[in-house]
Formats: sequence, structure tokens, C-alpha cells
Amino acid sequence: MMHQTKRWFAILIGVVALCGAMTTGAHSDNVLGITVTPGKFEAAMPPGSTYNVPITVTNTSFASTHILTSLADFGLSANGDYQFGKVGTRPYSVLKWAAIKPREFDIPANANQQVQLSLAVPSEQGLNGEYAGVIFFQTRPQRGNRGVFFSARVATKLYVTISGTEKIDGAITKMTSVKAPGGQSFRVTFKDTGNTHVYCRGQLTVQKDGAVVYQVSLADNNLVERGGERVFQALGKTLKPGTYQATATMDYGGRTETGGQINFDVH
Amino acid sequence: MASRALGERDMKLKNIAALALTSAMILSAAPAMAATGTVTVKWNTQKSAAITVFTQTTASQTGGVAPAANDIFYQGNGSLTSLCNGVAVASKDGATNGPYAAGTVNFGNVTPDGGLFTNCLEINAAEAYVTTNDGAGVQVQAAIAGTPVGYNTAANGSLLCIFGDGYATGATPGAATAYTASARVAAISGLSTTACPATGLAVTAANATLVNSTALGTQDLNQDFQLNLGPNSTVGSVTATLTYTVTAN
Repeated sequence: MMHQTKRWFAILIGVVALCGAMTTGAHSDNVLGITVTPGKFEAAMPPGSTYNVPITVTNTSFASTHILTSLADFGLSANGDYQFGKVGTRPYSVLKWAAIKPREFDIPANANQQVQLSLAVPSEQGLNGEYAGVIFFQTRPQRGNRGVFFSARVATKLYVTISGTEKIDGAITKMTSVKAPGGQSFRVTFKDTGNTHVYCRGQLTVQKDGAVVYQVSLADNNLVERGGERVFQALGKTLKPGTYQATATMDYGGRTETGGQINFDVH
Repeated sequence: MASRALGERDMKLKNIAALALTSAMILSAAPAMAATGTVTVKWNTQKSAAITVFTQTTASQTGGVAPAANDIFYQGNGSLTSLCNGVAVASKDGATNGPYAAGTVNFGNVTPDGGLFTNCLEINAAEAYVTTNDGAGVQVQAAIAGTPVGYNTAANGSLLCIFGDGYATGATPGAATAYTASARVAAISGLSTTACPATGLAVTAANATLVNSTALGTQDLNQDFQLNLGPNSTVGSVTATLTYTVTAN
């Protein structure tokens, strides 16, 4: 009787352990997860001032993770893709004035770590407009024998404007139109001629003999960085042969919108 | 007449004085209390960005379970010798080549052909669940490190391609992207190790954009991975790391 009880107890323990293992297996398979706050930080600072920015990194996965911090300059390609480079490689790098600690740390599951970013804007003359950079928080990749493993890095993007020097300006610098599969393709180039980043919204109107043929959306809250150029593409309906006029208007947050116009022939 | 303790009169006088002072305060405060009061409440909601990664998903934010059905598909493009996951038919991640491991996309033993391309597709391979409260949206990019010799080259090469499920890679969504399970039931014929078949995103050492959203909301990016193997692709055990980068716009 005693032996039988022990056997049942052992089986029970075994079943509980198995269930526990299965549960652990299911949950530990959230491979990785991190949250970074702030994901974007904007401030106005006068020359010679300092600012401390606390950044919180949270490990939302079910296992402890190791985080590496790195700093980078960034820009956008003509189609809006981020391009990252070493600090100081871009003319308006804010991170050359930055210090961050800790640079490397462990975070237990469902816990967070505060990172201190210190910015010290030099008091030199001639600073103007906006300076930018990103701080990456990257998980150390899991290791194994074979296959594709994963790592995630989330950025805190920084914009620091020298107080009172910002200038928001932009212009449409080029427009083209070509016949394309499925319709008429339009390319509109917008250049940020101010000294801050802007977000663009725009539309393009096609007219024939003064009558509107159609309108298409050109941009919708699209980012353009300081000094950057961005090409917006739109595909309109197929047009019958003839001469047309395309007018693009772009709202970039300045006092006035910018516009451009071309005449084009469809054969 | 009862005797009074020393200081009792002083205490009474002090009480009267305190009472008078309190009354004066109440009277002076009364007009202010009768008027409408305003309290300024301030806070600053910060912008945040987050990513969670799951492998072998079955639903949104549900992964890490050994696949119930075949999830690796083989395309030999006419080859009689090439294999994906050790076989020339559909199979499961982890079924033919060691135990299944969450957090890993493992195509197992792959055998290239001497003259033809081989394509191994794992459906629902990984999900990047990206959230932000930034109204300008977020950009999600992917890059790979630790790739073998010949990766992303034409000669004896290999290349990993990402196919979006329910969205186009490189798209600029103006709204949230919802999780969509893969509808693919076959590997996609890809005859290159420097470019992916249509709609596929070539994953290289340089960041390639998975999506670039322009609005607040979750980008729930379920992905199929396809490995393209060139003829006589370089042999060896590969442990590559795919990094997702999340940057607010």
C-alpha cells in the first residue's frame, strides 16, 4: 500500500514536471522583445547648455537579455530608407556632444534599465538649426549550432535644435512623368532647404485643357531630414494620347506650401 | 472654589487666540473658495518604440511551438539531387535534422545541385511585432550577419529572402498592418543568389526596409523565409544572425 502511494506520488510529480516543462517551452519561445522610451526625443537647447535625458529600456521577453548600446548618425535615402553611419560622419551630428552610460548591461525578464544620456551643446558661434542622431539598444543574439538566429535593435532618435535658429523651408525641385505599366507614373523631388526635419503631405493634379482629369496622393506624412532630398512617386490612371499638365503641391509644415508644374505629352 | 492649576488661564487665552486666528483664516479664504478654482494638470507622454520577435508563428504573437504541419517547402527547379531539410519534399522545421528549437529558423541539411538553383521556403518563419505611439510611424529594417562564403554572390552563392505575409516588403503603410498567416504552399522558384524573386526582400549585411509606416499603429509583420542556393553552393554549417532595426520616423 505504501509502495503504491509512493508510485502514484512519483507519477503525479512527473506529470506536473512535464506540464511545467511544456508551459515553459511555450512561453520561453517569445524569442526576444525590447521597448525603448523615448523612441524619439526632441529638444531646443541654447549653445553652452547641457541636458540629461533618461532613456528606459525594457526587456519584454521571458528570459534575461544582454543589451549593447551604440551611437550613430543617420540620413535618409531618396526613397526614405534610413541609412546609418559612424558618429561625426554627417554634418549635423548631435551625438558628438553626447555621453551615455551604461553602454552595456543585462536586463532580467520583464524588467527595465535606465540609461543616462548627457548632451552638452558647445558654446561655439555659428551653430544653427537642428542636429540629430540615433542611439541603438540591441539584444545580443541567441547562440546555437545552426540556422538563422535573431537580434533586435530599437533606436532612440534625437533631434536637438539650437534655440531660436530653426528655419522650416522646402521646395519641389524636379518633376517627371512617364508612361508605366498600369498607368502614368509621376516622380516629384522635394528638397528640404531649411535647417530642420519636416514631414510632407502632398498631392498631384493632372489637367487637360484646364479641366481636372484626376488627382493622386503624393506623400502622406513622409519624413525628410535636414538638407535632404526625397523622391515621391505616384501612379495615376492611364491617359489617352494628348498634352497634359501636372501640378504638384506639398505641405511641409512651413508658412506656405510649395508647388511645381510640368507639361507632358502622352503618345 | 476649586483651585486652578498653574498656567490654566494662559492655556485658555492661547486657545482663544488660536480660535480667532483660524476664524480669520477661514474668513479670508472664503471668497477664494467660493470662486471657481482651476488646477493645472500636466504630463508629457513620451514616444516609445517596441519590438517582439516570434518564430514559427500560428497567430499574432503566438509562436515558439513546433510546427504542426509541414512548414518547409522544397523547389529543385528540375534537380534530381538537391534537398531542403534533408528531403526533396515538404517537411517540418526540426523534424528531420535535430530537435526543433524556438528562436531559430533551421532549414536543416540542404544539398545544392551541381548546376541548378535550389529554393527552400519556410512559411510563418518569423514575426516582428512592432508598436509605437509616434504619429509619424516607424521604419523596420532587416540585415544579416555571419553568412557563409559566397552569400549574396553569383558564384556558388546563397541568399536569404523575406516574403511578407499580407503586406509587401518595402511598403509605406499609412495604417496598422495586421498579422496574416502565410498562404504559400510551395517554394518560389528563385534562380539567383543576388536577387530575390518578385516581392521578396533580399537580406544582406546592409539594412533593407521591411516596412516604413507613416502613421501610429502596430506593424505585425509575419514573414516567410526562403533560402536560395546556387549551383554548388559553398558547404558548411551556417549560424547567421538576422537583426531587425526599429527606428521612429
